[in-house]
Amino acid sequence: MIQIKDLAFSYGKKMVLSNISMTLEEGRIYGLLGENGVGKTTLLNLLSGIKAPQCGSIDADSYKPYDRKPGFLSQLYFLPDESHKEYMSAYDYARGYGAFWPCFDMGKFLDLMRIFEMDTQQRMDQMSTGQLKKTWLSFAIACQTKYLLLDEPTNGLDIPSKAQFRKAVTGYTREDSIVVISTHQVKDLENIIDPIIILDTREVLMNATIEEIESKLYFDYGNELLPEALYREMIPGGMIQVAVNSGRESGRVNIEALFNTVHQCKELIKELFNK
Amino acid sequence: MKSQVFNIKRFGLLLKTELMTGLKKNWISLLLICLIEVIVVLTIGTFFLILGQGWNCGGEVSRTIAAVIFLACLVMIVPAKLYGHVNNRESGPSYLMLPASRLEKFISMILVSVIIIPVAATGIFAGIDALLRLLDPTAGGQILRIPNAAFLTGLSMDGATMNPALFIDDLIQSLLIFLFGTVFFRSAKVPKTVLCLVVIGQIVSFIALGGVAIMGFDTNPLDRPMIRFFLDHTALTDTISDTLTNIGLLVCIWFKLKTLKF
Repeated sequence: MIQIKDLAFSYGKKMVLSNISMTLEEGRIYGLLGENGVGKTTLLNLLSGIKAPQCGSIDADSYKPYDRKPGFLSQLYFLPDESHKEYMSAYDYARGYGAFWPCFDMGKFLDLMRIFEMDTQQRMDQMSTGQLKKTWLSFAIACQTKYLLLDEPTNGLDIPSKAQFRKAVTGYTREDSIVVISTHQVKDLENIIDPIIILDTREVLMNATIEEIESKLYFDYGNELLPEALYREMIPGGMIQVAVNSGRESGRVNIEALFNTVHQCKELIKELFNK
Repeated sequence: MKSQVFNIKRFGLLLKTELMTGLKKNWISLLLICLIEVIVVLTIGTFFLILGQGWNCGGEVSRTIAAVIFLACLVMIVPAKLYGHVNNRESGPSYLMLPASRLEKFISMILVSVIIIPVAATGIFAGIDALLRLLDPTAGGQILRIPNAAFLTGLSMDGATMNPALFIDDLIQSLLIFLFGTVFFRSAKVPKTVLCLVVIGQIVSFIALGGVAIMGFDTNPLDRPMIRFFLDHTALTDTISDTLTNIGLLVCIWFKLKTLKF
């Protein structure tokens, strides 16, 4: 479990995170959403120990991430948005560096590379951006860490690779791991992220499971206009409307519509979900 | 439970991985540095051929030139090549997040960039130097002899005796200086380190000049007791000052590793 209490961070005078508190539980794949600049990457950097909190605390099973103790680092893998190159083949990298993570599984790495249709003998400095991303994703998941933090993992992936990524995350991550995926491209991760965390400037607007969201918000895919709709958008084949759920059975949660609803009705959403 | 501060197995893995990665990434640069003498010999020999004076690779002169260039490249380039990535925005977080303690990373960094690779490179350079002497009569000098240039062997002021230990001491210090520059500066690591050394040298010179001015120009500075002491015990004072400087540099590198930010 990761407990975040009253976390705050600023870049100079610009406060990015303020009074952030939440608990991340084992066995869940969290989707971390938010507009540009709200602090998603900063939060991941704080969770991984790359940056130190200026206020508040992060406790990851009695470890403080910024201490960067080997015991914590061996249970964590953070994949940043920008992938760097290594001057060796993917196989050599995995064989050399995988040993640092006690649960690293070379078989899973090879399986994942096969799923991504990647050649393990190809040198990483000769890969395209997308190929490099797939290699790093394979390595990250193969490390089988308890904490897996992915920052915009589908950036640079082609359409088939995004489906492969979904398969990789759902099929190969540990059952007891805490996975946090920060993304703008919510459609890529629909059906795999649950719970959903939506950050706003300096606060958490929502941290809820799909079940909780369905119980509090109603997603309608019909053609009849709902006067009480908080958000409405035309989609191929009809319309999607989001309203406060007053006991109806909700349709499937549309994460993009959810995000737009939250963005437009921040105070109402905060009241609904943070009571 | 494994120690969070130092674990020999984990340290061994880190050392082995960093050595292998460093060599894989930089083997061409390291090879070129080791082959400096071949390049110098070929250049000088070709020059003499063009002048119509027959093959002559310059003997001890070319040997000394090659040694100077080799040492300069070794000291300035090797630390940046091996550890330039640690404060790089893209690859730095990967280094930080590697499951090893700060102490293990620090010791590994020092061993790889200041001891193992330089010693190996020097050994290869010396081997090539010996081979050249065997193959080319114009190379001159003995096979396995350090070039007889005062500035290469730590020349002691008391009687101009050669002291290789002082030379090695200075070499380690130079490597540590450029290693600190590597972890401190994010870009243009080598030029910025050289610039800092020039500036610090100028400042120290002005302070020394000021000191001499304060003491007065009426008497010979070499007769002043304090200066006489330093001149009579150069090896001792040089060793003490180098040791203190090296410790200071190690502390600076440690704290820079501790406070790495991205």
